[in-house]
Amino acid sequence: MGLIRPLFWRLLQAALVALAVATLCFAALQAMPGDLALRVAAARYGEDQLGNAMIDEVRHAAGLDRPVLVQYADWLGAVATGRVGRSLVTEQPVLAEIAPRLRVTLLVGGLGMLVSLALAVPAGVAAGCTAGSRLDHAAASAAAALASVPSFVLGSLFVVVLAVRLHWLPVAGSDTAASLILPALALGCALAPGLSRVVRHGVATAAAAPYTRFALMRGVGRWRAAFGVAGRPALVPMLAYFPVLAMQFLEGFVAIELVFNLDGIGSLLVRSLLARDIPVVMTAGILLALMLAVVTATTDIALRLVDPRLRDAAARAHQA
Amino acid sequence: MSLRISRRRFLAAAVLPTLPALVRPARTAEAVLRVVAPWEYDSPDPIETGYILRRMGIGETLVGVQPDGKLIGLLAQSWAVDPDHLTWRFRLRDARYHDGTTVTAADVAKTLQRVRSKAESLSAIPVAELRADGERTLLIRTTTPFAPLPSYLTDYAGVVLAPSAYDADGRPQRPIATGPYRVTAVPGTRTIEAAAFADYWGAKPSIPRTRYTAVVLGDTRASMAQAGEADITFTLLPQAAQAIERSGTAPILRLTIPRVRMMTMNLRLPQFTDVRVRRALSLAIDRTGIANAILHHPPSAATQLLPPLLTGWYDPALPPLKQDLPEAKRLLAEAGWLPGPEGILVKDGQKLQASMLVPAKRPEFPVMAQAMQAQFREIGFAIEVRPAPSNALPSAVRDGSLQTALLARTYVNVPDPIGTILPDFASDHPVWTSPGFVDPGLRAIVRRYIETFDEAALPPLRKQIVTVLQDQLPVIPVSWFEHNAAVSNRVAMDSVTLDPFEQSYLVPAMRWA
Repeated sequence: MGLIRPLFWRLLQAALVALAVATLCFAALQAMPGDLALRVAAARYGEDQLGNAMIDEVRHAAGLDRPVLVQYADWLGAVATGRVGRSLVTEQPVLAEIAPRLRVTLLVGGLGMLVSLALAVPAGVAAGCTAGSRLDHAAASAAAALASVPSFVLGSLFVVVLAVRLHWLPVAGSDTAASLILPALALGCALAPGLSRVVRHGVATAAAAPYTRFALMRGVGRWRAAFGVAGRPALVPMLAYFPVLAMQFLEGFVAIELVFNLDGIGSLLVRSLLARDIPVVMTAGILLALMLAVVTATTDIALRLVDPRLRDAAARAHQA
Repeated sequence: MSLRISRRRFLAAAVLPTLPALVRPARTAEAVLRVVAPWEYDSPDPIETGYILRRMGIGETLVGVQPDGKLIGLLAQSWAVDPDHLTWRFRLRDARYHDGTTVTAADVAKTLQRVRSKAESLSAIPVAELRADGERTLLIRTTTPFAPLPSYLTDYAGVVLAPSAYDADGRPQRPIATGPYRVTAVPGTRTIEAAAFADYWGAKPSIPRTRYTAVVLGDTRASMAQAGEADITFTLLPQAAQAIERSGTAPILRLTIPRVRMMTMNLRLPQFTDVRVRRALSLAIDRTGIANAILHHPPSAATQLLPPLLTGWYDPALPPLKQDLPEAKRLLAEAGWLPGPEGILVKDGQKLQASMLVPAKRPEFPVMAQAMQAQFREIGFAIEVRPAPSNALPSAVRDGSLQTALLARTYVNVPDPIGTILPDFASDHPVWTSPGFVDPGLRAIVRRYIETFDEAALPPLRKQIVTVLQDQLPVIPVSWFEHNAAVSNRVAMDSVTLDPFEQSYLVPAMRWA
C-alpha cells in the first residue's frame, strides 16, 4: 500500500513532464530561425533537388501553413487518442520510425550500463574500503582521466586499436553481437568514472559509520559487517545515482551512435531536429521523458525497499 | 610475470554481456560485395531515396547516362520527337519488375505523374500531356519545345516501381523495381541487401550479391575501409583518403566532378551589385592554396564554373579564375571603394563587409571559409563567418537575409548542366544561388538552348552561357569536388569506374579480383 501513492504521483508527474517536454519541443522548433517547410523539404527530397514548388507542396500537405496553435492543438488531440501521426520527412508512421531505433539504443545502452557497473563497482568498493590509501588515489586519478576523455574520442580510440589495427572486432554496426561490444565498452567507460566515485563515497561513508564500527567492536566478522551491516547503506547513493546515469547515457549516446554507426534514437533525434520533423521530435521527446520518469520512479521504489528510513518517513507523513 | 590475454579470451569476456543479442545469428562470410556510402535509405519513396536504388543497380529510370555523358535507354529502348518538337514517344523495353510482372507504359506514366510536381528537374518540364500510348509506348507532349527532355528523365525521382510496391494510398512501401539487382532485405534504414535479378533485361551482374551500408560519419567509413570491412567505400574526406592510401589497405579512385564549392552573394546588396566587386573578390581567392592545403587535391582548384570533365561545358579558351591581389585592389578602387578604418574599404559610408553562411555539415567548409576570410581581408573586404545548417541557405535566399554563403552545388542533377543553370541563373526564384541576378541576355541564350534540337547548334550556345557566367560571376567558383572511393583488394580494380554524374556506382560491371 505504501508504494501505490508515490507511484501514482510519479505517474502523474511523468505525464505532466511528458506534456511539458512535447510543448517545449514544439515551441522550440517553431521558434528556430528559418522556414520550417523548407527544412522538411530539404530533408525529404535532398538539398540538391530542392525547388520552390516542392517547398510549397510540403507546406500545404503537412499543414504547416495553418496557424501554429491549430497545429499544436491538432497534434495534442491526436496524441490523446493514441495517434502520433507520420514523419514529415519520410512520411512513415512515427512509431515505426522510433521503435527499431529505441531498441538499438536500449540494447547498447543496457550493455553499456552493465560494462559501467562491471568497471565502477569493483573499483569504487576497493577504493571505498581503503579510503585514503594509494589504491584510493589511483582509482580517483583513473576515474578523473577517464572522465576527461570525451566518449567519441574514447570510441574512436577503441576503433583504431581493436578494429582497424588488431581486427578483433567490427568497426561499426549493430547487426551482430560482436559489433555491439565496442559501443558498449565506450559507453561503459564514459559512464563508469562518475559511478565509481559515488560507489566509493557510499562504501567509505558506510565503512566509517558508527554502526559498522560498533558491529566490528561487537566481534562481527569483516565480511558479515561489510555485507550485512554496511552493504545496504552503501547501496543507497549508488541507487540514487541511477537517474543521473540515465541522463548521462542519453546525453552521451549521440556521439556513440555516430562513431559506431548505430541507427539509434539519438541520431534520429538529431536528424529530426535539423529537419524540423515535429511529430518525430515531439514523440521521441515524450518517450525519453517517460523513460526517465520510469527510471526515477523505479529508483524511488528501490530506495524505499533498501532504506528503511525512507519507508518510515513516508509512513509518518501518511499518518500525519 | 606478464599477463597475456589471448584474442579468444578477450572476445569471450567481451561477448558475455551481449548474450541477448546473440539470438540473431552472425552472417556467414559469403561473397557479398559490401558497398559503404554516407546516405541512408530512410524512405521507400524514390522521390527521396531513388538515387540509392539507382546507384546500387536496383532501380531504373526511363533514361540513364554513361560515365562519358552519353544518354542511354534504360527502361526506354528508344525515343523520338515528332517534327512539331513537342510530342515525344518513348518505346519501352520488354522489362520485368522484381516481382515478375511486366513493365507497362501505364505504370511509367503513373510513376511520372505522381512525382513530376515534386522533383526539381521533372517539375521543370513543361508537360501538356503525359500518358501511355499503347502497352509499350509512353507519350509526353510539352507546351513548348524542350530539347533536353530525355536528360531530365534521368531524374532519380522517376525510378519506376511495380504496382505491388505501393500501398492503397499510392505511397511506395517496397523497393520492387526493375534493375539488375533485386532487394532481398532492408534491415533498418542503413542496410540494403540485394541479389542479381535473373529476369533482368540486360547483361547479368558478375557479382551475385551486394550489401549497401549507410555510414554517416566519414571517419567511420574510412575506418571500415582500412579494417577491410568494406569492398567499395564512397565519399571519403581528403585526409582520410590519404591515410587509407598510405596504409596500403585499399587503393583510392579519384575523379573531379561537376559539383562546385562556390561563394554566393546577395546581388541586391550594394556591396555586390557592381560586377567589379565580384571580380575583385574572385581575384582575391587563392584557389590553388585551398585545393592543396585544405582539400589535398590540386585538380580541385576551379578555373571556371564547370570542370574539364564536362567537355561541352568547359571552355579552355576562357581566362581562368586565379588570384591576383593587385588587380583585385585596382578593380575595387575603380568601383569607388576606398580605404577606411581598420583596413576595411568604404564607399558612401558603407563598409565592404558581409556575413558568410557556412554549412557546418561539410568539414572542409569552415576551414575554407577561414582561409577566404583571411584572403578577402587582404583586399579590404571583411567577412564574418557564420556556421549554419546547409539548408539554412535557401531560407536566407527566400527571406532576403542572405549576404554571402559558401555552398556546394551539383550541376548534374540531370546529365545536362542546363538542368541546374536554368533554375539557378535564368529563373526569378532561385533557391540555391545568388538572389538578384538578372541577365536578360543569358536568359535568352538558355531559352534558345532548351528549344534547340540540333545537336550541332548546342556547343556555341554552351560557350556563350559559360562565358557570361565567367564574366558576370553571379557565383564565385572556388573548387570542384573530388569524387573518390576506396576499393578493397577483393574487387578487380579495373572493373570499378567512378560515375562523374553520380547516378550510378556501376555495380553490375564490377567483378571479384
